[in-house]
Amino acid sequence: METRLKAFFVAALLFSLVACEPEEELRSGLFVSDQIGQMDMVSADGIDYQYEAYFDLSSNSMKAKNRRDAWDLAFSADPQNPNIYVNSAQFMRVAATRSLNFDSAYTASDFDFEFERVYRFYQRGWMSDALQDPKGQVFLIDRGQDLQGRKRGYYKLQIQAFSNGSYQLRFANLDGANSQVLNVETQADYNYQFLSLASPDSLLSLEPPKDEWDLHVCKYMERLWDGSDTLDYSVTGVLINSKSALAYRDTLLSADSTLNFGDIQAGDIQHHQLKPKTEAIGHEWKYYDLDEGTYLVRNRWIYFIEDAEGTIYRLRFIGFYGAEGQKGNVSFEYLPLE
Amino acid sequence: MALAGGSFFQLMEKRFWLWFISLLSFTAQAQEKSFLTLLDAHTAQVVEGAHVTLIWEGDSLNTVSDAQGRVELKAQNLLWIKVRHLSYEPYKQAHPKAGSLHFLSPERGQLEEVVVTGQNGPTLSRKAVRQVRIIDAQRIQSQAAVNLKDLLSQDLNFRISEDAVLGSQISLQGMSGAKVKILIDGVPVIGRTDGNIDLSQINLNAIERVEIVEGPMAVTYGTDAVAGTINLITKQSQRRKWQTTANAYIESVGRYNIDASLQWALSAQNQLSLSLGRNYFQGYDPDGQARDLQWNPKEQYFGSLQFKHRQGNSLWRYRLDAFQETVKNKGAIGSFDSLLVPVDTGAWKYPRALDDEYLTTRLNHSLYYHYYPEQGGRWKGFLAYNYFRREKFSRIRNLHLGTEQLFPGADAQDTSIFRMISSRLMYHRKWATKVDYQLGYDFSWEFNSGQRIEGEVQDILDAALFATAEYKPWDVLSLKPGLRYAYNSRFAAPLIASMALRWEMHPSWILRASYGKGFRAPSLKELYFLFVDENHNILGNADLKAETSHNYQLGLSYHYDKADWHWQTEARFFFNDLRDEIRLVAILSPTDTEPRGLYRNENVARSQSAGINWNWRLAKGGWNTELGMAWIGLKNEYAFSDPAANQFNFYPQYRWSISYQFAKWKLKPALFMNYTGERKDLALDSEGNLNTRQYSDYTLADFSLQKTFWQERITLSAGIKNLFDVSNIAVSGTGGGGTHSTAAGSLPINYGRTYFLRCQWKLD
Repeated sequence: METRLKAFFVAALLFSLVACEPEEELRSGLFVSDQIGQMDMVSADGIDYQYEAYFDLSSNSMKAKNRRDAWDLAFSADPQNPNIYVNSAQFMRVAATRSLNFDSAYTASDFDFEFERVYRFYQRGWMSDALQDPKGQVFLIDRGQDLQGRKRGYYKLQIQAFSNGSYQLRFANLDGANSQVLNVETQADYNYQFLSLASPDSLLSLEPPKDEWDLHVCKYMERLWDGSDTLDYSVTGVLINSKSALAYRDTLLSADSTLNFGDIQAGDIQHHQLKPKTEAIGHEWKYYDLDEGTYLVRNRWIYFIEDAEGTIYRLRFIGFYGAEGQKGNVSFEYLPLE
Repeated sequence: MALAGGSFFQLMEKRFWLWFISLLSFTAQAQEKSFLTLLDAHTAQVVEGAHVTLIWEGDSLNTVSDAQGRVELKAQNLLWIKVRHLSYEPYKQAHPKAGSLHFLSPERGQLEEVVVTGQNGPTLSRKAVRQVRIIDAQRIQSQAAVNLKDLLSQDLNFRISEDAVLGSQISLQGMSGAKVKILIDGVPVIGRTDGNIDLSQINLNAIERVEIVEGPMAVTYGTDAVAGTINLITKQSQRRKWQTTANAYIESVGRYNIDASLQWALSAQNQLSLSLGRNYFQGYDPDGQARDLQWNPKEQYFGSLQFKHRQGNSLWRYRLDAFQETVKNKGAIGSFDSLLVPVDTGAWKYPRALDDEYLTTRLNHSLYYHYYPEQGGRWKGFLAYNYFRREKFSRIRNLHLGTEQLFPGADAQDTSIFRMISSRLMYHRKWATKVDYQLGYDFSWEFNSGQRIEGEVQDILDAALFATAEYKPWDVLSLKPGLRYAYNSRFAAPLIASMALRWEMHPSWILRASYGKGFRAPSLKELYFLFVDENHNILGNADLKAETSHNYQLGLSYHYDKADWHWQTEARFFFNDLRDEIRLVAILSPTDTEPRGLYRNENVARSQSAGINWNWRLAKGGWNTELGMAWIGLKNEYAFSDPAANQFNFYPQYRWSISYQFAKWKLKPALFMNYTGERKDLALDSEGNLNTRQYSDYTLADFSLQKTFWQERITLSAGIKNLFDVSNIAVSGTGGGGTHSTAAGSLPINYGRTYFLRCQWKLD
């Protein structure tokens, strides 16, 4: 009996001692026949989303890519619809002084600054009203932060004239130093052209010509509800070329958990929902999972996009991370339906 | 073969005793005393009132040990000494010499037990002014409890919750585990993640018993002792030169544990003990195919080394505990983007997952000192250094190739380190006949570093002087006031006072009442948390003050002892009022030049808990049964903020256990049942609406059968855990305040019914 007990005990002991995790079985890959789009915003060296990029669906190519701190002011190239907006990817803000006196001393803390929010800046930035009837209105510009998070200071800017795609401006430091007059001549081939106040002599064509891109991945400012109040929040998402493209998210198809993305056909498109809304795609196709500590992509959210050529595509996002795990590597799959 | 084995052990035992006795004789000769001294094997305190039989050749004498635990020897050449005491196991020793020390092991499983937590000295639990509950070794064995979580899941007033990453968390008297102090032999356990200590990291293999005091014990133990104090008492008794124990535990859910310990009495003064163990859990998920398991795989290695030295009336004890745990939190397939490899006609997507691994290391060094002179005051203290490190590694695993790489995301890799130097010294003395007082200091200096802590390292120092006294104006009435004055390097430490009363209205009826103030010091993380990135700005607050609580308790107990009948019943009421609780608050300022959301810790919340409970315990012969009922209510911060919801949400809890010892067959079946009724609490939903969440009721029940073999050297236990197969309970929510919304979910409680087998092998 004792021998059996001992043997039993030793067996239990050994069994407990050697118990370990089994080797995990490898899984096979999945082939998808839709076209793949990829735009890498580059997160490296502790700086997230250093670039913004433009993508053209019909040619399946990334048309442009630039550092998001490459510009401060964007100028509409449409001679009939002047507009200027500041770079919210750098947390830039605008305050209207309601004054025409450029030489006055202005103190930033005396004014309420506003971000350029996504639902209006591409059509009507905070300074657009002054462009309808330029009289020399003075605005203060908070230049936000550089990529390292350092404050970049303030400028004052006076809108002196606009005519047929040409802007005449004056800007200086708040104390009047570094005063310069700018004459910005835009080209009608573009929706917007850009200017860096650090080197204002040359206009930058960062955005591709207006009919050559559909999607713009960038950082922008969204007004969110935080549970008790609204909050201007910097998000990373995809904007459409609202001057030539239309888009919508099909909420019914997105909610159908049995739907296979590959089965979506032209007949599923709700044409009346296609809108020239800049944030039609936006940023919510991904979310940050606090438990996982990572962004997860809502790959069941279905989008339809009509490009400048009139082709309508089905599209869904499938990734936000690159091969090395760096975030901001936006990937999506799409297919022309009609 | 069996006979040969038995003879061998008997021979070894005889040789050991001869050697041990000769050693004692030598000690006795050296000391040249004409009496024996009886001591508590665990606390080294003298044992008064023990019935001692001294046996000589052809003669014997019955006597009682005096207040110094001494027994006078009337003659030389004593053959045997036999000792009986209500609170200790029967003891006998051959050929004891004058001046020798005899260590009695506290009795297990009897109603009359000695407690030390919060007492001036070892005290019969019935005599303690504050009620101290004991979970003894027998119950730990019967429940086949591996860790503190297993044990407390069957206890009244406790509620256990599970987090896949943070582990097992506790709630006592309706308050969270952040307000429960956990001690091992009086030394605080550190390493609170999100305020809680993971109970599954506290193994019971070296634990003799667990003492629980509900309500604040802040006068003696300082911060966190708000809802209660749990003191784990390690095994100390040793009556053989060699004692080895080995345990193997297998549970059908995939738990495989082994541990072994060795205790070696180097001499009458010196003892050495060692233990080593491994606990392995393979993980579990109700969906057998899932990769992200609801219960994460866990592997623990632990060991301890203890050296104990007695010299005269002093006891020195050094203890080292080492622990390492690896928890693997595997991500679901799709928890990370697939790896895309575009080709001309499309692309290949290779599945990846984000796996987290948490590596926890605990190292505790403790040096204890007890000085118990035959007359005058007694000293008891410790000096300890505790180290806790928790590392998080996030890896992207390519499920197609089986390769891994570190994930560069924010918070993906993190190391948090807590270090604490602590010391407590207590001086206890009787003053006149009616006053028994204790003076002491309590010191702790804690360091914390981590990814989200502002600055590289932050520290907090707390130094306190405390005094308690037990005043007995009459034999039946005891008053126990307490006062603690502290200096804290980070905030104004509150002055803590307490008062407890014990009135023995009748030899069988005891009334207890107490008031206590408790506090929870803001943690270094709450003071110096810093998380600023492009989208977040979450700050600690160096101006935080301590959370404080006021606790009121009233209890009435009755006990009856006659022959082998022991029964005891107790009813108790408690009320806690917590102020200045720390919460993360959103601070919005449209004109602020900082363009991001700002959150900061503030002392803003208030909550209350109240409850009544009743407990009844009966022991007769081999029978032992216990019945308990509790009604616990909580009014949280949201109840205070909304007049319409300003009420307590009560829930019931019932507990029943029964066991019977078949002496003839050395067989002991035991059943434990714990019912937690439907519970409600208030919370805000994602839209900021007040939401009443309802948690469905459940019963946890365990059954075990324990049998000893081979002269009790081998104990086999087998049984069923979670008889009613409880896994997840339903959680539903209904919006209030004019908004109607419902939410449904579930809360993991257990992994369902399992079967276990435990083997224990003791060798003396």
